[in-house]
Amino acid sequence: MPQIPSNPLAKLAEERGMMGTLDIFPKDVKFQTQNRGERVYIKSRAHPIVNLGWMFNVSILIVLPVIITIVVEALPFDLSIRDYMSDLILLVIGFIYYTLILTIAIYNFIDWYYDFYLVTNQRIINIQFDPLKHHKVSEAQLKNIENVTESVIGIIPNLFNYGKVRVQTAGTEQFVFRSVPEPGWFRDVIMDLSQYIRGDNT
Amino acid sequence: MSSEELEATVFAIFRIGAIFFAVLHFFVGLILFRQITTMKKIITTKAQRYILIVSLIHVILLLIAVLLVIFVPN
Repeated sequence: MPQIPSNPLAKLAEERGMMGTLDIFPKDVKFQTQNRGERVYIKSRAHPIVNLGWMFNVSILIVLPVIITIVVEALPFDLSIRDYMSDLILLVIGFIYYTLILTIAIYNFIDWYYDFYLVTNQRIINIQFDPLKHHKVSEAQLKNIENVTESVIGIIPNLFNYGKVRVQTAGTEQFVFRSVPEPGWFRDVIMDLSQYIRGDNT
Repeated sequence: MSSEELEATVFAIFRIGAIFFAVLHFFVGLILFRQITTMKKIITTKAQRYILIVSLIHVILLLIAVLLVIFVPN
């Protein structure tokens, strides 16, 4: 059975993997179409830093009612909404508002969590999940991989070392793994494994 | 139309809108929960059970929201 070629970055990546974003030899992963004897070498997903945008928005939405209340109470004239609505109705509106924020948070979290990039001893698998829309599972045999390209574009990706890895297969198909942590290491391992499977040790 | 009637009409419209929104929101929560259970079949990880529990709590909260919107007095 092919093994991951020894790479000094393997340990580094293992240490840097945050929230299971880059797991080497993960023990807890099984997938639907896993063949007998097929072993998952790498489980990865987008770097957690990509969640910062929606987390910031959700934080703003959480504190927004408090800010509005403070501003309204600071106004020189009386603009109390309690004159028009009972406390119970205000409570219900608040409850619906915060459940909406919870929905936004869950939607964005599972959108990130269920986008998996798997490298096994036979193939690479890209599981893309778009909540409320679709999920897509694509795979390519390691022996069919021809070219792997990494690109790290932007200040934040450079700072946190994540980027895009494009895998070109023998057909016209192209896999794009977005926001992969340690893209250099990822590209190197995929290419090494592909060469190993083909028995090309040059 | 008296001011009381106007107020009642505004509240009725407001309530219909709120019920529509809450029910729609509840269905969104249900679809998310269903999709998570589908993804559980596609790929299994350790943290999935916690995501399922959070999603289930979310659906229950949305159901409470629907009931509150329908039954809360003016």
